[in-house]
Amino acid sequence: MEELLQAIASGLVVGSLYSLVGVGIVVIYKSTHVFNFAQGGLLMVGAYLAWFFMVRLGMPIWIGLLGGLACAVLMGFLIERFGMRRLVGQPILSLIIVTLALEALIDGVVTLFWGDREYNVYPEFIPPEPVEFLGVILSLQHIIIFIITMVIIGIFILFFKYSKWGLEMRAVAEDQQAAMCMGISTKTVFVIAWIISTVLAYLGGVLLGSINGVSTTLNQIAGNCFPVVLLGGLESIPGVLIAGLIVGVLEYISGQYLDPIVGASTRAVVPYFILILVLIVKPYGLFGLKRIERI
Amino acid sequence: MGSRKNSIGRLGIILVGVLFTMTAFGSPVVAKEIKIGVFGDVTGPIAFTGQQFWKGYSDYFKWIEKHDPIPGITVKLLMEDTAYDPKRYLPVLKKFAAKGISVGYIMGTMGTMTMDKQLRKLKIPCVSEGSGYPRALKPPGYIFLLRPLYPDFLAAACIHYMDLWKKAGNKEKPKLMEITWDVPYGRGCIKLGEPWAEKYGFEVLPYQLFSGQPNDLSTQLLRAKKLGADLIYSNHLEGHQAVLLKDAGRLGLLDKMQFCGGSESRGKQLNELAGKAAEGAWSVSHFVDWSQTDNKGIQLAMDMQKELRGGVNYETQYIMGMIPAMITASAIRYAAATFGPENVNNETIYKALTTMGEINMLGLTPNVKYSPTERRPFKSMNISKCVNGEWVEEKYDIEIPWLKP
Amino acid sequence: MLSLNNVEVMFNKVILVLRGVSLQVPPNAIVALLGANGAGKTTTLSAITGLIKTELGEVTEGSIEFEGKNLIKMTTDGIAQIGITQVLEGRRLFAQLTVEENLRVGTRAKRKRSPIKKDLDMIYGYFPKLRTMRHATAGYCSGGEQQMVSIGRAMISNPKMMLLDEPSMGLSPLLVREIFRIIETVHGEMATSMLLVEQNAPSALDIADHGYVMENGRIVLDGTREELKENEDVKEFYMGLSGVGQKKSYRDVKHYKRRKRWL
Repeated sequence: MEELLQAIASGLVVGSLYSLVGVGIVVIYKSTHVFNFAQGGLLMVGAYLAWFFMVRLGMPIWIGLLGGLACAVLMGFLIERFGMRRLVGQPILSLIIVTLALEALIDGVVTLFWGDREYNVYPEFIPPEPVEFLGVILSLQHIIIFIITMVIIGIFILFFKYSKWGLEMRAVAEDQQAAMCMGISTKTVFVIAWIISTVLAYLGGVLLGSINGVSTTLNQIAGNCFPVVLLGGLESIPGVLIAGLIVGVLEYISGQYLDPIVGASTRAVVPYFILILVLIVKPYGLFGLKRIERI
Repeated sequence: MGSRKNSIGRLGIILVGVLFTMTAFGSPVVAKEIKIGVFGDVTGPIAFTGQQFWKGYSDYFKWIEKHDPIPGITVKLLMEDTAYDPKRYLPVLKKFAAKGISVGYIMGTMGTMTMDKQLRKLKIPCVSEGSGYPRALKPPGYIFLLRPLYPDFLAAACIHYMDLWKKAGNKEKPKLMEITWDVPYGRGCIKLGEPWAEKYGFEVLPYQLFSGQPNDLSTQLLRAKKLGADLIYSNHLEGHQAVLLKDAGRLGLLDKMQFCGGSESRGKQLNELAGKAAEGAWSVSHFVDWSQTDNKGIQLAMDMQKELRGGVNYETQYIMGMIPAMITASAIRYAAATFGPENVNNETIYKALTTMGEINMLGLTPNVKYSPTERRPFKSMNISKCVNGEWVEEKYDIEIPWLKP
Repeated sequence: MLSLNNVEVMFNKVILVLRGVSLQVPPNAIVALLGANGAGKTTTLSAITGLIKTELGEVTEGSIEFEGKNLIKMTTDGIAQIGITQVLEGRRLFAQLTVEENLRVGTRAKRKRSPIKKDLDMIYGYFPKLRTMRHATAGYCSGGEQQMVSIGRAMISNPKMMLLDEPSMGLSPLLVREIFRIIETVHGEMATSMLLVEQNAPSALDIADHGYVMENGRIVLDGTREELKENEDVKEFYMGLSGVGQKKSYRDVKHYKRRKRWL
């Protein structure tokens, strides 16, 4: 029983990070119908930027984090302005390929500048003290990360549901032309969507990097996030939140109980397996928005 | 009219004269160029390790070119990125072979596995870090290992652990469990090493694998705790070991189990990433630590770095890169002296490696000796321990069984 | 005053859809734009609001001006911001949003600051049915309800001019009457000028002051409501009347007694 609880607890922590990255992908997809394959790379770059400010330039922690945040905002703006906007009217596949290229580019550039050390470590700003409850041992770090990610995602859910900007972004996601006729500037909406996405990636990168150091393998987490996003339904933020947690927990449970049977690590395969099972029953994902068609 | 013809004629005679003089006095002596093919895994899953190997390897050749050149030979290093990707090795080998390399350097088990057959065909000898592929030794081929097979690493850890276990008066069998990376290199100890450990007196618990870059190994550790493991052996890199040790620290297992890794699981980065959790961890390797400052090999490494890089960077893998360079350079030197510089090629370097006897390694490792029937370099290993953030000697020169491949 | 002068619209640089359209919508007037399918009516509206730019179309000749501003150079959202809103063909609601959220989206184009609640109340005043279903998902509403939302969405910002594209499409005759009554009321109370594109010529000409008939990308007839209602061609081809208001029999349909093409 203790093992099961431990698996669930660890799974929730990892799952919350999946959700955070996934929300970034969903926000872009919802507004622009572009599947952002570069989310992992953006996460990695975010982590490195924070490290750069805090360690290489030696700034105090908070200033370093804010500096990285400012860079993330700038990056989102630049990507939309120079990457996406130039391709308005082109088939959506072209924009998706641009994100693939962006991912490869980020990978190469980060390795070029900062690949000289395999791992870089942040000055400790989240203490890794072990915390025990219900027989489960987690590190304080994990708990804080879980709380932070849940709060961030919660803020975005509220933003989209209740704020004016959120409403307009949803409108643009539905029908760009109609939204334009209502006076909504789709350009502004796209820029905001990309900035939200890069900021989420940045936060995810910083949190992930604080667990086990910043390395050039950080972008691999996005590989697990793609099935999470599809599982939650590409257009639903609460969906991706729940999907991330589910996948995280199931990964750990299968690691606990399936790995010894199979004799190898099943973690990498589990998300895809779950995805296939769910899609058979619910093709739009758990919370995907069904197409509403009237005859 | 006539004068023009005359000038051309005069020019022609002068030209012939010059050419004749040149050939008569002979062309200046040109040293024989030996090309070395380095299969560099400098990007990909072992990127950082590969980059350090390359640094140590190439620095050594730069050093001897300046301070102790091989008479009659100039060495040219060709390096290509193979990224630890099994698809890339054979194409790179083809390219190198076309360029006429005489000897090579392989950085990992992946390369050894994929190229063994072709190297036997092409008859190009290679020294290899990859000790996870015993079939390269059956029968002995063109791959020369830089260290014993990985199962022997595990054996070294087991031998020393059993030694301490018995001295502490324990009567029951100690329990061994491997928690390691799911790649051929990571799994290298399992097939041959675990049966041997069982025969040696350990109770071998089922091994656990993890893939990719883990964030959390608590599942594996809890299972180890449940089964009562005493010695945890891992064959993976610093990043993986850091996660394992940190999680073990968090779960309070560090004083209940002894953690031990291979050569690549110790270094500055491990200490930085794992902090206090790295204290007491073991690492089995074939070479000595940076802390052995009166070791001639270590001194050479420090001098090399000071001269070529302007300062010393205490990366373990830098030393590991020097070792194959020293062996290769010694072999070329021997071949040049024995067969003459103009006859140095892949065949003669192969002969050199198999017949030259002991290669002086300046104490970095035990002296290396290959033979026509043996591709493993030496028969002992060292264990280092992390004390106060430094890696120091725990027990050197443990004789290993040389498990039959 | 909205005026189009000799507007030519080309798609993809090769397909000429509007061939020199000129029309005017005086302030506070309702102008009808009639024509068969494919005449170019929707394209005309899209040219005014700039939507053709999102479909690889462009205005290659002529001018479109509204109160002295050149609309061709402006973006669609910019045009909405200066007071021209559109009720799109086929409603085009934001299907996943609720009725009230759809209305709220329309408030972006407001030119005067006022509390949103007041604006919503105004719309619910015109369409009491919407108040009862304000939280319903827009996509699941019936055709008539959707049309009300669509019009409400365009009205909520108190625009100077509304472009309505086939508001009667897909509605029952009773609802059509209702919708047109509301359009007329709105026009009266909010002093909004309107450009009404319709296939339902009788209903349109009932409320319009002035009308244009389009065919094949050209304006072929323009006149006041009375002139158009009396015009024999309009009566035959758009009202289904011939001679003295009798209905046609199928037999007669194939045998045209009047010339069929304008040019």
